[in-house]
Amino acid sequence: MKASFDKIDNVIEFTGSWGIASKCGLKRSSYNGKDVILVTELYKDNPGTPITQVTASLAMQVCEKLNIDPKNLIYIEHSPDMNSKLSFYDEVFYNVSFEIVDGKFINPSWKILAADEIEMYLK
Amino acid sequence: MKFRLIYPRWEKLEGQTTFNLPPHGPVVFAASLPDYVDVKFTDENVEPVSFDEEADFIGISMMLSTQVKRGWEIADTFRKKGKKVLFGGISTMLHAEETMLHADAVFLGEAEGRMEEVFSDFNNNSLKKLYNYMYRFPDIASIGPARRDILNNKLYNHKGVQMVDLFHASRGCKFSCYPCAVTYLGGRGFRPRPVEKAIEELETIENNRLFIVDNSLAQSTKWEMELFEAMIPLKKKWISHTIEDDPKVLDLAAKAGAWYVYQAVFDTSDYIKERIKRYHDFGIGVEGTVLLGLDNQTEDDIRHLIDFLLEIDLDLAEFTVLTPFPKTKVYDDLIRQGRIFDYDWNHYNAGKVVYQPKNMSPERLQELYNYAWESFYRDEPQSQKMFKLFSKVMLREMNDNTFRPRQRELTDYSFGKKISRTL
Repeated sequence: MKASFDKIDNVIEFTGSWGIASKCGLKRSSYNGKDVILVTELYKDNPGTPITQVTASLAMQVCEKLNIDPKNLIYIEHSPDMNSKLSFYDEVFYNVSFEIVDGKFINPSWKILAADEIEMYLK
Repeated sequence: MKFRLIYPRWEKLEGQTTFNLPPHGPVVFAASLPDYVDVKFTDENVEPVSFDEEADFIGISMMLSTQVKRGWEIADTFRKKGKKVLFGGISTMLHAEETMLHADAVFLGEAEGRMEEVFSDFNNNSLKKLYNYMYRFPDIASIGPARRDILNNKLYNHKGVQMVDLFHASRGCKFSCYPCAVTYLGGRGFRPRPVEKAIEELETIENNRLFIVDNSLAQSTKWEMELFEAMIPLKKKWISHTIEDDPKVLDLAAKAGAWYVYQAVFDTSDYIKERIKRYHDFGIGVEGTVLLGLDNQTEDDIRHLIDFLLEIDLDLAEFTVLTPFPKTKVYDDLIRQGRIFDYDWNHYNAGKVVYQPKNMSPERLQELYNYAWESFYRDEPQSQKMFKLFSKVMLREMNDNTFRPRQRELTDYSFGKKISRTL
């Protein structure tokens, strides 16, 4: 896999489903006073759960690790370009929205982001 | 120390010829066990699991998503009886999180060189819930012959005809096909076994007919050619996935005993038509593997694809519907788009639509899948097409004096069960 490393500041470990040690790329920025977190799927370099399959838990783990107020979070999932001839592996970004109940994220919903929206969030 | 290794049964696809092949994962795993472990294997597809037989430790090996629910059920029963249960295998890796709820220990990754630790922990009553060796691969040269001695060969025999034995010459895959979990399971690096090691194992296999289960042999021309060259004297006949589309390689493959290959047919291009023809030019049969339901397919595309298959002289075809197996990119994509509506893993058999296709309803895709099977085998049933392929291999075996007649004492049995023969 050739991930877009300009979108990764560092690789972090997180707890996947049922405690499985997992890894993802992380980039942090801010937009209009909100904390923007971009997590990148590392595919074969992630020995545990894929980021999308624990999205709510991972978002909360990132908030706790980086001391971010969950209400102030813009959370983006990033599937990097895999340099494949198949369009399924093109780079794609999703903004993930959650409901917050009892201090936990639930009911994630994903919305694909256009290139200019990504630029806006990450500049 | 008595270790019972169990391979759970799964529901076979409706309307298709069922052949039970000797499973490969358990025999490869068994070779990694410490010497003091006395292993007894049960494949539930061909014989029942006994829950009362003496055993110190239970292992459950799972390959398919359609095995996991039954595997969990078996584990729950043994654990109620106070036995400790270890899970491993491909679908354990894909369903690790849920499997942990039914296990005393879950092993993820490749087993070679790791089982001393697991069994030592068991003996010391300090079994860990999780042994995560994902992407910490053993030295590929350290992989020795699989323990086929644990199989009861009579159970993999249909009316006196022995089923193919399974063998692998490499691990990992440099390709990353969209619906495939191999990159997640074995990494995106191709790890060929040293040719002499592969040959050493092949020489131990009594069966003359094999299925080389590697994801694709077409990943390193030099290695592939060396392997085929070295296989020629063994006179084995074999099935495999894709072989490199190069006349020099195909020629060597044919000389090494290539019987037929599984070749993905993904469009109606001349490239595919010529690729099939080139296999045939070298006497290698082709079973087309056809995936239906990708986002870029419309109903018309699928119908054209089926018509095309009938034109290009395929020996066999196998149709599947896109299935979002966990840990694959297609699973993530469909989750994000809210398109998966069925999470019953028994339905993840690649014959049942469990998601909302982009260009048609799930019901329509299911109909097209059924239509594909019916159309392809309408004029000549699957059993007849298989018999033709089988006749070809028998002729080749007769020519090189490797043909073995069917085992007469087993002609009234099919996969261990007595059958009544009609004249």
